[in-house]
Amino acid sequence: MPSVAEWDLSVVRWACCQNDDPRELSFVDPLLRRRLSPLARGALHVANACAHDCPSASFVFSSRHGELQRTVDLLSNLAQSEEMSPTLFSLSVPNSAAGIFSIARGDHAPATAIAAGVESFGYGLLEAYLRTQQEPTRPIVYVYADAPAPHPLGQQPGDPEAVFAIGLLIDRAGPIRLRTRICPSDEPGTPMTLQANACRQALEKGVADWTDGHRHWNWTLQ
Amino acid sequence: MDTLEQEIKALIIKALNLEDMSPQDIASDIPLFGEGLGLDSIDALELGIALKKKYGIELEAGDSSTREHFRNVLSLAALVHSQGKAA
Repeated sequence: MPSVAEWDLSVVRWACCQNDDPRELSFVDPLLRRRLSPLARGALHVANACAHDCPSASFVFSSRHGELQRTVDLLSNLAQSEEMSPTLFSLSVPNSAAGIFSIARGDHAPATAIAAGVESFGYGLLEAYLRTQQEPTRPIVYVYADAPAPHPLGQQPGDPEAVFAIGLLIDRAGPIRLRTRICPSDEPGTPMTLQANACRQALEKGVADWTDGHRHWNWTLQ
Repeated sequence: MDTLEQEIKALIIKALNLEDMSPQDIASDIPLFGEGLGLDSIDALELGIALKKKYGIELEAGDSSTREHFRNVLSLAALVHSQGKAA
């Protein structure tokens, strides 16, 4: 089947963090660290695991739900006519993890935060690829992190069971060649899984596929 | 030690989510913002809400005396003494 889009990325290393995996966040000042949500802790752990020896790197952050828990908490405050927490408000934006990573590292490189529904991981990876085309010499830290949508929305098809974060350091010299292909698909009824986990399987085993019934994503190591 | 000071220290730790700190770690006369404890403007707003909830104290952000009240735990205790309703 002809692909809609196809691109290759050179990956230096990657890291994944889920469930009870330890989070190493000593690079974040404790006064900053105290404000991190479980989602941001996972995201920053994998970002640092990828980029600890890379003083400056563009940052692309992708998440389907972002800091939705904070938004739900703020709306609950409003519904109960309570004062809204300024801390929650300031960190409810989707780019808060990117901002904190930049502050913690003292890195002024550009950062982007995107959300694209159940395909957030894949389109975030596309954003990272476009960055490599714009600025080939600067490494890119790509991080995808999500948690299941909180109550009262509840876990959605394609959500992880708990916080899931994956990070890739993308640079021209990277030894891992990751190819992404997107094809049209007509596979209704296929149970939806976490898209990011498919790419992780490809990074581990060489190939993996994912579909939401409309589009088919394929990852292969070259 | 003054129980009100202790209470305010516990309030600061809880409202501002100061991981790994206990009331003994906060000297009553240490500056809360900037040099000292190192809190920032978001903490000031958060602390203002916590003081309002617990003691019914209304603070005006633009009021120059607010800065003075927020200097340290001693000044906050004095504020609660003079203006606060019983918790």
